[in-house]
Amino acid sequence: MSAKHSSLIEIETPVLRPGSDGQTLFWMQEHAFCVHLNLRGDSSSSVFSEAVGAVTGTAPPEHPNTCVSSEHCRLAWLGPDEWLLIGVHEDFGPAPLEERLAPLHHALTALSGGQTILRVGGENWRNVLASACPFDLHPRVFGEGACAQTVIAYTNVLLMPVEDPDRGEALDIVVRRSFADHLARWLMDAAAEDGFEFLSPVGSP
Amino acid sequence: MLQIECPWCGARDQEEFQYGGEAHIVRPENPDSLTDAHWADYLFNRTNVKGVHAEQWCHAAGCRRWFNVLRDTMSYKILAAYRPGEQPPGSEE
Ligand SMILES: [Zn+2]
Repeated sequence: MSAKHSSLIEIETPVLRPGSDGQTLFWMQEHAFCVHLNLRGDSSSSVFSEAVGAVTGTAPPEHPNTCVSSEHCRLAWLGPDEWLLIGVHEDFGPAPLEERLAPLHHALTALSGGQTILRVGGENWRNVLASACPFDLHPRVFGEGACAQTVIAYTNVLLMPVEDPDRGEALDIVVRRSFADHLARWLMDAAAEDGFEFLSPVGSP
Repeated sequence: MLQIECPWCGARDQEEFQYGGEAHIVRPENPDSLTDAHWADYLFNRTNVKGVHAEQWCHAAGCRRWFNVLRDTMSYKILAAYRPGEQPPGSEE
């Protein structure tokens, strides 16, 4: 079996580049190798919701642009019949869900190798992102429990506000693997003035 | 830039959307029985209104769903957004 590599393999981390006044107001850390599954089905059918809940610990959120977490995973709304399931542990595979959903009308697609999570934070993260993201990131309208698909620097992303256990308020950016390097380099550039720190990726290959 | 109201996600920037042409064009039920002129009319001819236009948009960088919009082609003002299968607000039905 060949080794897995982080999407940001060409960016050397950790890297610390303070801004013009020696400050560091932005940080980024990849959460690599999470389990990503795309789930489609009819959430108005209680059989479907219960089957998902039995495996994930939570029913898929029905309200647009919201996400829910359980012990094992996070479930983010992507569309009226579509969700992204992110497994917290690597052993959260599609098999148990596939088994439960087999008799029901559904689609379950493994995306783990195709996308990754860039977690960003720091005092100025909203300003850094706002320079290339048309979505309103103000905490008044976008806080924990919300999610949104939008674009940053011409790249499709899913945004989820989170609380980082070590660093406090943060934002998870789910991005296609092939665009992760572009996005990370773009963030470096956008945060140069504020100063930034890119930490080594979390997650083991 | 326009702000477009996705029926699911709410108001978002135009950058997230793709335009999909005139709305409510119904595919002929039996294409084999049409004359070339009728088929060409279905494929190519559009109303090209000056004023309120019903058109399709896709929330391409968001929820990736198609929906309909009423837009004034003179002022670019968006008057309404509604889901596929629904009739435009203010129409007879
Ligand atoms: Zn939408």
